[in-house]
Amino acid sequence: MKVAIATVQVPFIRGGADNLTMGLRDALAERGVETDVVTLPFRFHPPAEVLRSMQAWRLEDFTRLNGVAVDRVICLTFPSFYLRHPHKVVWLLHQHRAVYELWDTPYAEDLRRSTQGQELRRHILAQDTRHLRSCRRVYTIAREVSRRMRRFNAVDSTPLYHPPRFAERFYSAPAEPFIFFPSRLEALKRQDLLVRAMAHVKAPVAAFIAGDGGCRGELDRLVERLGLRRRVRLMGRIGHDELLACYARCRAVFFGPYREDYGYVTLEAMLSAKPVITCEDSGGSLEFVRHGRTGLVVPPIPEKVAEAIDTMHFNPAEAEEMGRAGMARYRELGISWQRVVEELLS
Amino acid sequence: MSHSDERPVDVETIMTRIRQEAARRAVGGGATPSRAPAFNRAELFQTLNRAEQNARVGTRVPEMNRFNRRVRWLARAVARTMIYLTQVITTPQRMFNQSVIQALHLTVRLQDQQIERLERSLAEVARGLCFQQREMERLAAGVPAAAETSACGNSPAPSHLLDPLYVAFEDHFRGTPQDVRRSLEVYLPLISESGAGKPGRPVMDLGCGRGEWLALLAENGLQASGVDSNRLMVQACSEQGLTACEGDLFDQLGQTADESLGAVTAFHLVEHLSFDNLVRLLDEMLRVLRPGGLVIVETPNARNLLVSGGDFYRDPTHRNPLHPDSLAMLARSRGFARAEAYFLDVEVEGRRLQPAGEYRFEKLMDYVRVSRDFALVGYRP
Repeated sequence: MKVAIATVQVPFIRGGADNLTMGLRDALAERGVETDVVTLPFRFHPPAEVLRSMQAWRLEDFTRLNGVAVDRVICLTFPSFYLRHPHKVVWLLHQHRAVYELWDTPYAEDLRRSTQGQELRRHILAQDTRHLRSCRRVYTIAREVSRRMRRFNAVDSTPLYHPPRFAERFYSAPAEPFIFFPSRLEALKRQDLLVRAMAHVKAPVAAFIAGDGGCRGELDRLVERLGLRRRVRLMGRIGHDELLACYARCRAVFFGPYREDYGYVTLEAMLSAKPVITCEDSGGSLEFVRHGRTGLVVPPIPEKVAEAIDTMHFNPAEAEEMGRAGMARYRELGISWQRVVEELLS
Repeated sequence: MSHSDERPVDVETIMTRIRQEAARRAVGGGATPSRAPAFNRAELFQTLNRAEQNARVGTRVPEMNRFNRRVRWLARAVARTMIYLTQVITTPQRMFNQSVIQALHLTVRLQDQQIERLERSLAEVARGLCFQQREMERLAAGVPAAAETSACGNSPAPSHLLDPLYVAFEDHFRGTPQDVRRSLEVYLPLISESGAGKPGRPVMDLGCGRGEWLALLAENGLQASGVDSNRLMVQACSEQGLTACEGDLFDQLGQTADESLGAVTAFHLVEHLSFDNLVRLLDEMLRVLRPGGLVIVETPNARNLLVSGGDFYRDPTHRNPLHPDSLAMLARSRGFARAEAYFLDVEVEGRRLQPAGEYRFEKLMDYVRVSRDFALVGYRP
């Protein structure tokens, strides 16, 4: 059996999407399926480039690739599911977020204000709906993504959870007084919320923010302006062993992005038996975090986040209990690549 | 919620501890802190590049695609004029920016050159030291091994020429004293339960090394003394105010009266012994223990694939990894009661003793994940 994984590549940007692609490829290979990842570059700016990318994928026919018959195609990203194949399955990471749930937010302001942008939005919504309907089956990586698809495209889909990378290597150890937040540094992940919260935190805890990205300079200035140099550390990109150690040793994990689709951070914290502080509008993480049981869910306001951090610090026994409950919940969910692959190939 | 606690958090210390832990746990388990990158060159150059890109800020007219054509034309004209004016004003600033970046580039290159020079001369010094050490060994071999006797025992002193080398090994592979100390905390409850360390029931630590365990016992108000054949290690213990004797462990045990100790411990010692000496050691331990006293013997775990497959042999003075089943069986057959092997489960908080029989070996990964060390605990009936 030959399976092609179709996805887009955003050159020089790595993140969760690549973990998913590699994980799926390895899981398929382990099951003895011949697999290859096929990508085209994607540019999200200017709007004309997005249209061109849609056009390019629409012209792709994966039925045969250089004389090789492809039995099945698994499409992971917009607009790779526009390709032609009699047996294509979508397991969607997320849609083109700027024209969907981010449309009404400041994150998509430029697009919303231009006529070109408005045109683009109408076009993508219509084409997405049409091409999603042409797929044999539609899966998404999380309930949040399914919910959006239902709302905007009226297409039903099944969420299918997968484990984070190297899930078996996470471990837990006694906590040190710091809050950990690993993610790419970008506006949507809202590292600034944690930094602002730290100005209100009363407990003697630090915040370790791991990752690199476009917002680094801005965050750095924010830390400076709030006089938090000694308590907030921007660690930059860190190695995997260091990541594991930070997870294992932190008091709690903060993960409060704006409407995240899935969010490995939540799962990784659970695997490290650590409680998660997340926000009411964080999307995917809310599928896993139960307020007061495996973490704390607070409004996305610095003062409230600060309160949650203080709670974690001043009630260590409860924090640890929440962490352990999180780990138990992860086991309960039975998240595994094996299940993902069975489902996608069924 | 009380928050009288005004201690500032020491971010640097936490960060250092985490980096060390990460380096230690890295695949292959190398306890070499030097491998943790002190600074990242790529990051340095990325930052410099970013600075360079921004050094020319304000020299180009933005596209202004959002305006319609006529407004855009006008706006661009205004912007061009503005930029011309600001350029005149900010010329010194831009020159300054560029010189600073240039200077940074030069500094990096200069440093690289100097580091290279230093490394070369360091290598030369090391070669010289090596030569001198060999010379000394050669000379010492000519001197009759007469007068000197060891500090506590009375058998002729063995050569101490390799002592510094072994200390270097220990520092490099066993981990920092703090790590070793933390890992030994798991045994404290066993000691206090048995009443060892109380007056009349002291603890003896064989192969006490840098004295991490002795220090831990002393801090808990327990009486203990150590033995080590390495002169530098014993010195290190004495400097911390711990009781330690330099000498051969069989000599030391031989001088100890029957039924006089509450506990005998040996961490990472038995893997250095031949089988005959291991049996002799167990017999001696049993003899000197009071009834109810215990032995704790920690050693690398032969059942861990990474350990038995290579890491064990990092220390060239190691003989062979020991299997928990055989060590436990051996202890029982020499007369210890309740002799059991325990794995040191690190998954939960700190370390925890898990009876070796409870661990399931089902998948290949189980042989990788099983603790790297195991402990034998046995009691004198």
